[in-house]
Amino acid sequence: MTDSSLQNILEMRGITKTFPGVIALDKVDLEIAPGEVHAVVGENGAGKSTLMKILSGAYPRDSGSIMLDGKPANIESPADAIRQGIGIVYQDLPLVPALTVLANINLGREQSGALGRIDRAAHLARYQRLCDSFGIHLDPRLRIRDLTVAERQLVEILKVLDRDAQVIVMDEPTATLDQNAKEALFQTVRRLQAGGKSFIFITHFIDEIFEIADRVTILKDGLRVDTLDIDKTTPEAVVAMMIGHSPRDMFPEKSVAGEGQAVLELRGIDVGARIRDISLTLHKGEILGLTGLVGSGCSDIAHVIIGNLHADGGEIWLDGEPARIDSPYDAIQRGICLLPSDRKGLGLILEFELARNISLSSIADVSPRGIIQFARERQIAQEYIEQLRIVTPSARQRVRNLSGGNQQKVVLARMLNTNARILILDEPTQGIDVRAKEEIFALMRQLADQGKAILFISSEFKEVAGVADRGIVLRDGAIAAELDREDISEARLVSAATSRAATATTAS
Amino acid sequence: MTTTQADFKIKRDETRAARLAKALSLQNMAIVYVFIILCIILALSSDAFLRPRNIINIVRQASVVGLLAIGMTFLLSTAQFDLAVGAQAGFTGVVILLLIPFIGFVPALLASLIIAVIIGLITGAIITKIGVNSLVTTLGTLSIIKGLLLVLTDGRILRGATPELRWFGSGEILSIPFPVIAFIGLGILGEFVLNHTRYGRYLLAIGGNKEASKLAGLRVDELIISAFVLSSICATIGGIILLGRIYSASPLGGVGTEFIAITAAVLGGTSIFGGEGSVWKTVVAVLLLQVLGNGFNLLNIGANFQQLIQGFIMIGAVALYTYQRRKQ
Repeated sequence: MTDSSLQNILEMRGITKTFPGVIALDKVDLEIAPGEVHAVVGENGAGKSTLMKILSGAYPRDSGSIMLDGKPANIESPADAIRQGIGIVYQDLPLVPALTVLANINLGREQSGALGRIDRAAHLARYQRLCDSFGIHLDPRLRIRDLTVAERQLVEILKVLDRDAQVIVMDEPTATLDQNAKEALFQTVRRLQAGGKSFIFITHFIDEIFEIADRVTILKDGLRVDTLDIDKTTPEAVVAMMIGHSPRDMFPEKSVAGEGQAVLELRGIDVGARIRDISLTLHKGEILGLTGLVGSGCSDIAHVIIGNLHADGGEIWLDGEPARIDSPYDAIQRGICLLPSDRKGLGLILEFELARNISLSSIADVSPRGIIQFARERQIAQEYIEQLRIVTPSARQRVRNLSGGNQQKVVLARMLNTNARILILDEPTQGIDVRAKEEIFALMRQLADQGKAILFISSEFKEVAGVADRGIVLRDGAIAAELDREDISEARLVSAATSRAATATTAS
Repeated sequence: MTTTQADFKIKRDETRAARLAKALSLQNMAIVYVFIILCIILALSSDAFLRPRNIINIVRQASVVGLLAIGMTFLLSTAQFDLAVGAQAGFTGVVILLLIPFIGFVPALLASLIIAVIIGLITGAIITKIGVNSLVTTLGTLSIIKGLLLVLTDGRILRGATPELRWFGSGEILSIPFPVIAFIGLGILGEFVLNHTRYGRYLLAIGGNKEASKLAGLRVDELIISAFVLSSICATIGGIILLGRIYSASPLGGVGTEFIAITAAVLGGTSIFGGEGSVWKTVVAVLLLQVLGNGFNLLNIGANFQQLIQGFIMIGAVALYTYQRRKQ
């Protein structure tokens, strides 16, 4: 990229943005070349989202300039950004589920034929041209609600392409994708790249940028640390720049103690066609990893254990005796607690202050005779704020205003405060920054060493391999492999989860 | 340096003064300020307004709607509502008047409360266990109760209130009328229960996020049903007061007051986004609506404008809350 400054399709110069009391971006530069995939990385709160919101016109900038194709761009609103060739593919995919692919792509810009009828033929023809020119195949008549997450993402991409986007911003595009879908996405990106489109990838996954990106810009605390060619750096170096100190091993030492007694056993659990014949044993003092591709049924197992999903067959045993758990209430009474996967949808009361979220499952402790002792409630919250290093102005802060990692720590604190002995953590590291991940892993190990039994559900094979003592891999709702201490590795987990050979290898 | 925080550096802990300022902020207390301003205007423009008799009268007139609104605040806190409570208040009167000749006064009162519990249980169970939403369910129960009113009264006004009944409408304790004591007393109790007890916290949590509350180990269905029962009991107490005040029960008694109750609960700031609820501000809102009507009478503007103004106030208040939320 010798004379890249002449060719840049997009240049953001000296972008500064402050919020009351916070400098979110401090003179940040970003240059995007045509046909480039440019990754933007940084911990939560580093300024990635703010930068993209400025590019998309959602936020006004305090100072700095944006040039598109060498000309000053005037981006005051999302509509301006779209008109000038900036396409944003959002993480939460704002599509209308009941409408078809075609209707969603044309939503708001329908071409009318006679009598104001929507000219479906014209839409269809344009859709075909679009798909053909980029080598994409997706039936336009399918309804969004029937599509997988990956397909919905493709619709979002088609939507911005249809609006003639030159620079496509993708916000955590792979967070909800399994390995196959991710590969497919990357192939699509490469094809579009060959067609001259540029991409900005916002991501937490450092490994991925080495698969897909040409360059990477690292942000930290609102400053640009550096922009590097991808083949001149390493994942370790990028992580080091993100977190500002040399990366230690993010995983804690595994326990050397032998297996404790079995506390939870599943025997032949079936749930319709989603889960078939699941048997597993969880021991005191261990971290059992449960993994598989998205949709393989791991979360369903968690919900069966806590009585939130009814099993059609099989038994649950606690401490060597058959147990009946009909609701999450029962589960907590029996000392089983779930940290659910979707913290905003299933974990938090967003309008509640931090202290109230923490006490929710164990409020009896601070409300003798039913009357809440607010001071004690906040004091307990304060202890967790210190212990888990939750970054918040106070225990009274609404959790809506916290960052993802800190929100997750609040749910964790609630779980810890129930003093449950069986902890199920479903995707505890989803969408949180490296440092928070490290802290959560260390905490998990500490809890296991204290004698808790931990079921760690994650679709991050690397994390399962790094943290869990043993691993169970699910594929299409059935157990595909069980890996013991000696056998557990990222490679084995991946191959068990993704191999199409139906033979279940039980390594022990 | 491990002290570098990746997250936005937010201003340090708010001081006590800052918290007080926030608690008294326009955003938090708009309804209270509007109420105070309205009272000052009326006090300045009419000598009659501040007379104790007038004030007590306002509170007494507000009491029936007030009781419905207190119950409604509990329901709204769980993100539910009940359109049938107004009709249920009227139904209570009919039931009591019909039962007195057969079983006597006290048993008739008890029977009306038992019926209230049953109606609350059924409504709550349909909504939680079967999963019909509260709009459809309570539109249905509203129609059923209205129908029962017509069938039981044959479309006529029932008379025959006994002296004991009249006590509920105009009896006094320490020269404060019973309806005033019931309304204000239950308001204070309700505020305490909603914001200071475990039970109230659970209801607010459910309103904030039902699914998360369930996974956190709350017995969500039972709690929602209990809120319907509570609201139903409040409606019935309101119905007893109504009967005591007008000495008769008409097939249309109470019908329509549920909308004023919902308006008041929403005006009182019980969050339409869940997680927040305030009974005392609901009480203020009920009084505001009543004073508005009273003021129209005192100023000879005519009560016909009342509904019109109420509608504007309701939409204005919710628009303000929503706008502020979007700005955040």
